[in-house]
Amino acid sequence: MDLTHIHLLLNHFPTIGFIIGGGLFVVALIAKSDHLKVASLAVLLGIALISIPTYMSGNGAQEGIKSLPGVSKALIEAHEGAAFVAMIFMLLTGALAWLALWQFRRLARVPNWNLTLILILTVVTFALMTRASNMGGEIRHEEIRAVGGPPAVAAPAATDAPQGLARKVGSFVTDTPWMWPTCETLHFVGLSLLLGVVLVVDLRVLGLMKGVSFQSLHRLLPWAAIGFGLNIGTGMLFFTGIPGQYTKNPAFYWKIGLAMLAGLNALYFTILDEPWSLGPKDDAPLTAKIAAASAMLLWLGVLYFGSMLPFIGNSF
Amino acid sequence: MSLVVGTILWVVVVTALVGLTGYVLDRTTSRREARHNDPKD
Repeated sequence: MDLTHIHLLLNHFPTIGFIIGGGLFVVALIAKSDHLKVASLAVLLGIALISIPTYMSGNGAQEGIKSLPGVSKALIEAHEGAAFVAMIFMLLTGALAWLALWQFRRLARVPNWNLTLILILTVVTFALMTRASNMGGEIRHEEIRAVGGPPAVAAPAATDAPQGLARKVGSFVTDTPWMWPTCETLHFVGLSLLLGVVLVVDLRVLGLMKGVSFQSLHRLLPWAAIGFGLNIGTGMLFFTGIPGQYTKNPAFYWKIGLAMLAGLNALYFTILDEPWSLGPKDDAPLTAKIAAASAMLLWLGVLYFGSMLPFIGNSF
Repeated sequence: MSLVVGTILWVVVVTALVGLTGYVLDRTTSRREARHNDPKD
């Protein structure tokens, strides 16, 4: 199995998953059901996380098919650009969905401004994702172009200039002297925010600082989420700059896989009752301790494989 | 824009935005939380 297989496997999740998550969210708003709202927001967050490996595996798939007869480089780059925009909107939707889950835990309701923003972003993202999917299908399925009218992008131009937003952003990242070191610095700022909060919360659950209630530490979670967002943003800029440096590197697969699991692990601490009810002097139940220990191990793994990127795989 | 000026400028700008976002989020949620827990409501 290579990245082409993984991309073909994953690329249906963002579109179909978003229909399920977005549909549930609309039904929840109409039915005014809090439980359904929480479920739909968790689905939207999960789909946003899946969109990252979906986009990244697309670059590997591109390497696999770009030299095949009848495959247009222009169509591939146009699809990549459309997927890049759709992923940005999907990640924004996921970020607001997480914030809504956090707000629901603290306030027992989600503020209307956030529900409205999520609804608007869900509709826009779904349109963008459908467009990106259609353009992806046109790369290998001429019958779609023939039946559905003209292709979503113009015929391939006889030029090596980068086409599509992703390639233009990638060129900007690699051609601008201050861009890469700025992203590196911000990547470490995000990492510090994220790991700082994760360690404090997890150590409390594991039994340290027992005088502090979990509710007090739960208030810090948005800082970790902002750090995670900063890392995703800067990480995507690195990837867009030199995708081949990452798609050929096994350490990168591990890093992304563990980061996705750690992101899902954070849901436990964001919304579930078990850690929330942990008051001062309380000892956490075993499941909470397992979740805390696994979070620390997962983030340690992300750190390790991130640091080992230049040393494993020889692609740097 | 030179390497040093560009790096310092953008790191300061983005870090300030990150700090401001976290601060505003914390304050607004705290206020809402206080209203939510107020026995008069």
